[in-house]
Amino acid sequence: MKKVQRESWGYKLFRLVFLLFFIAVFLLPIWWMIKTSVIARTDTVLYPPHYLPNGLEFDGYIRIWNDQGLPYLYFNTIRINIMAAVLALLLGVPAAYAASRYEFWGKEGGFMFTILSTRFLPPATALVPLFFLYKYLGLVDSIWGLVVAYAGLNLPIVVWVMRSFIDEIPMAMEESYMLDGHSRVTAFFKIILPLSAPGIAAMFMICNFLTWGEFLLAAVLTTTIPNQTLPIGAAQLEGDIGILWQQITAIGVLGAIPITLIIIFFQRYLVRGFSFGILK
Amino acid sequence: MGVDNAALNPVSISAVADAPVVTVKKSRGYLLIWPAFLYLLAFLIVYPFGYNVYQSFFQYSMLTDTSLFVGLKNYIGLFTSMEYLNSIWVALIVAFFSLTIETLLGLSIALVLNQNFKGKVLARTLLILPLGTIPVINGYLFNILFFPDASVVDHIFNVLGFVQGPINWLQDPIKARIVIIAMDVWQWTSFMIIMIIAGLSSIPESYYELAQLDNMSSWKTFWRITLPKIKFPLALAMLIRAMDLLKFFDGVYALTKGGPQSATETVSYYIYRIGFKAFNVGYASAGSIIVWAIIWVMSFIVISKVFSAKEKAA
Repeated sequence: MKKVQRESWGYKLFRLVFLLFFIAVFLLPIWWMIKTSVIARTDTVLYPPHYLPNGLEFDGYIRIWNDQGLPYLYFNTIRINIMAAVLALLLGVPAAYAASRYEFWGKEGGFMFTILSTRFLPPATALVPLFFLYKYLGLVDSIWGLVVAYAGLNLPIVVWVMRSFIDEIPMAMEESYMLDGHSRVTAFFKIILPLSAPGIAAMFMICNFLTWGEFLLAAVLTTTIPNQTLPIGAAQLEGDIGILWQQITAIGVLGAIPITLIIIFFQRYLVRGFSFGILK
Repeated sequence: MGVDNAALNPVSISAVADAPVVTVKKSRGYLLIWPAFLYLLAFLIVYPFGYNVYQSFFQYSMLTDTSLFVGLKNYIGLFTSMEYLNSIWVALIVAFFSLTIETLLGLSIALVLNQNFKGKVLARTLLILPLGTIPVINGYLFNILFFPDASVVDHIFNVLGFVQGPINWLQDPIKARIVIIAMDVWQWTSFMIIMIIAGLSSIPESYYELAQLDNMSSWKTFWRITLPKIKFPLALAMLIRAMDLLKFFDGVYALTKGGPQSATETVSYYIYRIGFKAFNVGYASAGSIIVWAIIWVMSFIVISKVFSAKEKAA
């Protein structure tokens, strides 16, 4: 059913101005990032500023490709984030299912709150101990080390959000399926998983949003370009000769593309997947 | 499947078998929570957290590479250290203003985007784009936008007639904090918008139709229908943001390095500076444990207030 339209012209005008204002504010930094990446270094900070580039230069892009190992950084960022999200979902969805469908000793205050509490420590704190632990396990300067760490960062969010998502699926659906002689395991794969697919897809995207630009752990746990990610590549461009604006913004532009594509093509699923999940 | 193997893990089964388990089902499906729990236990709780608790009672010396037990000295030192108290204060201010603005802005934008109009999808797409950017790069980007004597923002404010001459954002303590808050609001309001739109879109249209039949004003509809319905997603989104804001680091690292003086030194940055630049591991550890405790208390209050109400409603 369609909502009855009772909007006055005044309101429509207000809405247009409101949206245009915020779109302008939100896009200005993005435009500035794109613009800075394609101008000469000497033109970076001028007063009054040029809102459009005067002349195009792709020096920043060429340099990060040649000198900063961009292909490595890009490919690493993508695969580390995808693998970490998958690992977090593999561990988190069963946990969310257990929390949603069973009553057991210490569930809320013990398990669920402890799981969430792993997100309470400041990132700088986990660095030293994680570094020693990783050294012992041979995970320092390896993409697997970051996969393991990022999965750990995402896991609490996955468990908490997926739990309320599965809470929404009526228990009766599984029970009637099980009354037909199917086991609980089959019910999980045939009923729960397909019904929570939109939530899992949305969760997968949110995981990627949350760790895509992670900086501190990657900065300490990786040491060589073949294992590093985009944020580290960018931070290394602040050196003795000042900040290399063009290269940094070029990494920023390229780094934003995958997430932007996800936002453009999958936002419907993001909204739908979540609307079902986080509400009671 | 990995799921089944994990559930049959002998370690997890024996660990639970002795515990007084109250279960409504004969099945042992609840053991499925153990893989996730053990994972976090192994990688984040036992070692990193335990290490911090342990180190917080010791004084580490780089010269001799030895640790000396000092009891609560680190904690007492921190509670009387103006630097540390200041960094907590800064983190709280930044978190409070960022979260308030992000929530109100996210809510207003999401409410507008939830209406039907032409170009809605385009507007929504453009308004959640900042979410795709990388925080540390945003730090450098805002450095350009607020560059001393050549700030784009200054130029716009001058053209619009708000101010005359340069504003010098990053040299003034209050203004530097405003820039830090603006940077966070710019990137993460999009996150609030997505979460709130998701909540809004699951409110059945018929609720609004009933409200209209009742001649309820739009203000009343918002308070009586919309807000109660999006309370949980809103609370969850705010909690996730609050936890991350109290640990705010990347932007400070790339933009202000804590300056001017220590006006923008958040507690995460302080811990990084003390632990990694000054190698005062004991102080850094004790400082983290205090932050952990603050977020713990905050989350506990929010969860027991909001989510126990959720269970009653169910």
